[in-house]
Amino acid sequence: MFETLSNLLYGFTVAITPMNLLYCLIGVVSGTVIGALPGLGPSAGLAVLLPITFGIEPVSGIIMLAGIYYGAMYGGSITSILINTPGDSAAVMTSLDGYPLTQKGRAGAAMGMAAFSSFIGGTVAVVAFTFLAPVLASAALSFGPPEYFALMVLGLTTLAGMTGDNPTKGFISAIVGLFLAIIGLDLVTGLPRFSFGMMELYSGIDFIPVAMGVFGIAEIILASEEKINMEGLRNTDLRWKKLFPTATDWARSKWVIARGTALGFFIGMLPGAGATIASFISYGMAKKASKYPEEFGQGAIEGVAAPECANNAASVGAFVPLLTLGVPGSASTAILMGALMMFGLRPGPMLFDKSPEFVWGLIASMYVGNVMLILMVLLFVPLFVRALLVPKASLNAIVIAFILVGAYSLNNSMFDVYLTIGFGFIGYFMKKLKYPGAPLVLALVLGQLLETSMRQSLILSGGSFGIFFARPISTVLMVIAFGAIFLPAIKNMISKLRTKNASA
Amino acid sequence: MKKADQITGALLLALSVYIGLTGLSLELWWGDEGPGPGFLPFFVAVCLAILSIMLILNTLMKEYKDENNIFSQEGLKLLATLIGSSVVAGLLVNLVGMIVAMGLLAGFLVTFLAEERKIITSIGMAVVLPIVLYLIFRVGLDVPFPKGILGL
Repeated sequence: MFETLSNLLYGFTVAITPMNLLYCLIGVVSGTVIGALPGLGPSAGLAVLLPITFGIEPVSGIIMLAGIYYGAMYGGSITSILINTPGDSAAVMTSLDGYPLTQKGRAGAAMGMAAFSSFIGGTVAVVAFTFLAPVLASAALSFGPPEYFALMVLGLTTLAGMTGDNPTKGFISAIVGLFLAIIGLDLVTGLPRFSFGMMELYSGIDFIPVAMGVFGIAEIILASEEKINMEGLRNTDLRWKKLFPTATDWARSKWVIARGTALGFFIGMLPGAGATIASFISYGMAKKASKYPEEFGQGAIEGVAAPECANNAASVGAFVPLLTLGVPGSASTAILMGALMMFGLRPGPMLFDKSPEFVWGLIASMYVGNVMLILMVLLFVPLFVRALLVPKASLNAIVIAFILVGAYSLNNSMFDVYLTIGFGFIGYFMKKLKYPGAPLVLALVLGQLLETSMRQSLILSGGSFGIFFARPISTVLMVIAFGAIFLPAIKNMISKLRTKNASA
Repeated sequence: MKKADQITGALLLALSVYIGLTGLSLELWWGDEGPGPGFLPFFVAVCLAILSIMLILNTLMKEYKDENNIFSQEGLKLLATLIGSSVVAGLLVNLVGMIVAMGLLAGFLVTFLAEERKIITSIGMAVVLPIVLYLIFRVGLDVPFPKGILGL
């Protein structure tokens, strides 16, 4: 306990340097703006802005990326509330009551409640994270290759099985990602695999061009297709005074926020679940526990508080498996993991020992970032709303040009630019045909580690796959992982039987 | 959607056959030392084959409700414009340099996609955006931009 506090204090000395504060601010502001753009969420924001963090110190880089992440989490709620168009899936529930509140003329209160409950959810979750993460990390120190292999399989199968409407397509997406990860020189033998004789492919396919294509280019094309009426933004009353929820609003929301925060943090830690599911469950719980369930959907203020505190708490919770185990559970944390590896840091329990300035600097910056976010929102909301009024054509041009130059800057090569454009093209069809992008990117990020830990385990066991079921932790993880594969099929069968019985 | 699923299923199945055959040629297993370089590709191929067959079988058993065309003419036009102009801009980088190519791309996209065309927006975008990109990437992050015949 005492050690954690002194570590945290040390972290603040890293996070509160003027440069790092500046990077945190840039991250929060640009994240909020990108998150507010319809169609673009945290994973798009991270992918698009990732290249600019590579020129700076790793600590500053990750502080900025974390800022983008929760900035985008909040930004998604702006369009949900004002024009009924969620910026990303985690903000869908916010629009259910947020938009009716706008129609009632209470847009300011809804925006304010979203900001305050995000702040509370985020901050409480960071406190929980501060004390939980070191404990988990030290427990994970005993993990060997079989446990890591099992963890990564679990992360992949749960994400693939839970995103999208059709689990088969989720798994296809993950397997294709695994295939992309294989491309390049084999780490053990040095043999080129699937590189088609192209030198550029020998070093493998970087996850960044793929993420920028699938989450950046494809999403911006899809968002442009939709006709969105931004007119409602022009005459919304967002004066400073209006942003503070009333005492009645607080009275109705306080328990909702407390429950949503705890739930969000817990769900965020689970692989595959994440912010979207947390916001759905939190909203459902708030409605069930409410004295006025009939007001939900008609503009109940706690209908805004519930999903917003939960999705921010979940986005902090998602850092737990990423930093302590080195296994991300969502698209955004997969991108963060890839970024950490680009910085030369290997996320996992050793990180707490090897790079304490990095880990604690990041944790401290989450406290700072949350405070910064609420200050920015309260002071500059009208400005963020202005940013949405930029004509779509100009927005497309800005984002596309930024992505292309960013892709070039990774290795100073045009090959990455074409790769990004190619995956933008593929990503468009994936989205249209309902293949989720998150499993693809996660598999690509984890691919090499997955193969290495599998080979190490099998060398340990002399080639027997029994090793994954010979140790208690890896056995449990593998069983859950297989469960995630067959669960959708079993659920499907049960529901079919039920309808059969019902009709018979 | 039904037809689309059948086509992608067939394509993925073909991909899995290719991956599997290549995996086999790379050596699957090494005596006592565990899996060789071909093992994971072969495993991936088997999974992909099973999944794509499931996808195809599903289209035969499941009823599809939304038989409306998922691809709109307008959307495909937008896709072609954005992807096509990006590729052209990429090819132009070697000729006119990064800055000019991005300026041309921005100018083109703003002019072509805008609902109400204003020459001033197009020119402004074509000039200002490359300058901002230059400041962020060339000056701020020290990324060497390819120069073109204009020396920019």
